[in-house]
Amino acid sequence: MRKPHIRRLGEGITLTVLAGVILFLVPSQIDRIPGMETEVSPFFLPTVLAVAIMAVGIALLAQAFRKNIGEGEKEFPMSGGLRVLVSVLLLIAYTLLFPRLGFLVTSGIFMGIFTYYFGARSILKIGLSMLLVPVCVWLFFEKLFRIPLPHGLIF
Amino acid sequence: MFSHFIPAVHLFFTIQNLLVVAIGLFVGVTIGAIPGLNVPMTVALLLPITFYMSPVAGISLLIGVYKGGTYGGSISAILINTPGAPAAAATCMDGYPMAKQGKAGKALRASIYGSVIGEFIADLVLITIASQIAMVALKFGPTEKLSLVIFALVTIGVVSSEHKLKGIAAGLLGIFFRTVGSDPISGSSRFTLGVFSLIGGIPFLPHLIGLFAVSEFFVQIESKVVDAQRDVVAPVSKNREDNYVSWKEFKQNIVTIIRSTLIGIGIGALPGSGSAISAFVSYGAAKNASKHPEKFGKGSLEGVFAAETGNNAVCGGALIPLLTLGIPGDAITAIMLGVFLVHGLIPGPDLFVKSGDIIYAVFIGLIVANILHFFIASLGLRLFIKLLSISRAILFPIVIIICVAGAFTANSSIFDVYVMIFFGVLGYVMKKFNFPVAPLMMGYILGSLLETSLVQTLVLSNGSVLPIFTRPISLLFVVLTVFFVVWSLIIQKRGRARKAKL
Repeated sequence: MRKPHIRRLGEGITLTVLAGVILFLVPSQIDRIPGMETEVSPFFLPTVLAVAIMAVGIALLAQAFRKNIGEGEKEFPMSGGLRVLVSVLLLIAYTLLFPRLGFLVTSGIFMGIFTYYFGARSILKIGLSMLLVPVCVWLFFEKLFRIPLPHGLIF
Repeated sequence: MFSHFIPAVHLFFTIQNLLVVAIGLFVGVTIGAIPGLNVPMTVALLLPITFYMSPVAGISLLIGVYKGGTYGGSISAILINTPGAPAAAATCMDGYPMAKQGKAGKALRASIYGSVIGEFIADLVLITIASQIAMVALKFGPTEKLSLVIFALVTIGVVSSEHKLKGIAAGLLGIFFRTVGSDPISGSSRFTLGVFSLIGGIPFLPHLIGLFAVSEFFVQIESKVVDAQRDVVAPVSKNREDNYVSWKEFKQNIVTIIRSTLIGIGIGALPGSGSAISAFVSYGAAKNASKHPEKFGKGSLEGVFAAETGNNAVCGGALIPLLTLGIPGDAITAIMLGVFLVHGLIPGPDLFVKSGDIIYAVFIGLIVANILHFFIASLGLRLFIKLLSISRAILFPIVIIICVAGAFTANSSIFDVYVMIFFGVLGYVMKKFNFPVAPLMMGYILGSLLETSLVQTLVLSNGSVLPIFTRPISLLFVVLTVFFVVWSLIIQKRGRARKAKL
C-alpha cells in the first residue's frame, strides 16, 4: 500500500472531524421551530454545509493516497510555532489587562514586549516605541475621531 | 445619471473628502512599499475609523488605500527585488533587472504611469457600464441571486488557490461561520454555545481584522526579525534618460497599456482573482504579443508597463460586481463592503436607485483619486523609498496595537477582541496549510444572501431546485460557474505539465 501524504491526510481528517462536530451540534445548538418545513428550517443550511465540508474532507483524504501529491510541501510547516503560541498567549494577556489597566498603560507594556520579541534590542528604540505608539494611537482614536478606548485604574 | 451628478459633486467636493483620499493614497503607497504589510490588512485596520466618517469619506479613504497600496508594491519590487504586495510580484521580473542596469528611475516612473492610466480607464469603464448592469440586476429574483452567489463563491474558491478543494473548504467554512447567531428566516439562534454575545452573529470587524491583520502578525513573528541591510538599488541615475520615460517609449507601450487594462478590468470583475493574477496574465500576454519577447525578464520596459497597468486596473474592475450586484470582486472590496453596510447602504442595484448621489460621489472620488495618485506617487517617491528601511520590529507591534484598538472600538466590547484573536489564529493556521483566507471571508459575507435566496427559491418552487436550471439568467450563472471550474482545472493541469517538462 502506498504511504499516505501525512499533511494531506491530517487536513482531510481535520475537515471530516469538523464536519462531524457540526453535525453533532446541529440538534442541540439550533432552536427547533415547530411547523417549519424541512428546507426552510434553520437546520437546513448548516446540515448541507456539514455534509459538503465532510465531502471535501473525504476528497482530501483520498488525495493523500495519490501519487505526487503535495510535492515540495513541507510535512509539518509549523516552524516557529512556539513563537506564535507565545505571542497568542501574550495577546490574550494583553486583552485581559486591557480593560483593567486601560489602553495607554497596557499598550505601552505590550508594545515593549512585542518589540523586544520581534528582535529589537536598542533600549532607546524600545522605550520610545513604548511611549509614543500608544499615545499616538490613543490621540488618533479618542481625540481625532472621538472613539472611546478603555480607561483603567491608572489612566 | 445626470440627475445624480450635481448632488454628487456637492457631496464629494469637501476639504475633508479630498484630504481623506490623499491620506488614503499616502498610507496605501507606504504600506504597499513595505514588504510584509499588505493592503487587505491596512483596509481592515482602517475600517473602524470609517464608521465615524460620512459614507463617501469612508469609502474614499479605502479607495485611496486600495489604489495606493496596489501601486506601492512596485517600489520595493523594483528597488530591492521584493514585492511589497503580491500584486507587484510580476513587476520584479523586469523592474529589478532595469534597476540593476541603472534604470530604476525609468522603471519607477513607468510603474506610476501604467498604474494611473490603468486605474483611470478601468474607472471610466466602471462608471459607464455600472448603471446598465445595475438596471439588469434589478430584475433578479431569488433564483438568480442564488445562482449568482454560488457562482461568486465557487469562482473565488477555485481561482484563489492552487488547491481547489482547499479554496472550496474555506468558502464553506465562511458560510458556516455566517450561520452562527440568529437565523435570518426564523430568528432562531444557532451555534451560539450559550454565549450571549454571539446571538447577533460573529461580529464582522473583529472577524476580518483577525483574518487579514492578526494572522499576518503571527506569520511575521514566527522568526525573530533582524532587519537585514537591504540592498536598495540607487533610484536615480547620472544619465538623465534613465530616470524618465520618454514620449517615444510611452507611445511604443500604449498597446501594452490598453491590453493590460482590459485584462485587469476583466479579471478584477471576476470574483476572487485579484491583482496578482491580473499582473501575471498581463505580463504573459505582453510577452506573447511583443516584438522582443527575449527582452522580458532582462529589464524590459514593456514588462513593467504590462504588470503595473494590469494590477492597478483591477481596482476599478473589482468595484463593478460590488457596486452593481453586491458581490465583492476581491478580498479588499469584500472588506470595503463593511463601510457600506455600517452606513445602512446595501451595495447592489437598489443602491443606484435609492442612493444614486452617493454612488456618483464615489465615482467622482475614483477619478480624483487617480489624479492625486499621480502627484502623490511622483512627488513622494524619494520619501517612499526611505520608508523601505523602517524596522519591522517596530512596525508589526504597532499593527497589533491598532488591531486590538480597532476590534474593540466597533462595539466597545472585549469579547470582540477575543473573536479577533480566534480568527487571527485560524487565519494563521490556514495560511500555514495553504488554505486561502479570501474565500472564507467571501463565504462569511455572502452566506446570509445565500441562505435567504436559497430558502426563497425552495419555497417558491415547492422544494425544487429546478428553477436554477430553467430560468435563463440563473442558467447563465450555472454555465459560467462550470466554465470557470473547468477552465481553472485546465490551466492548472497545463501549468503542472509545463513544470514537469522543466
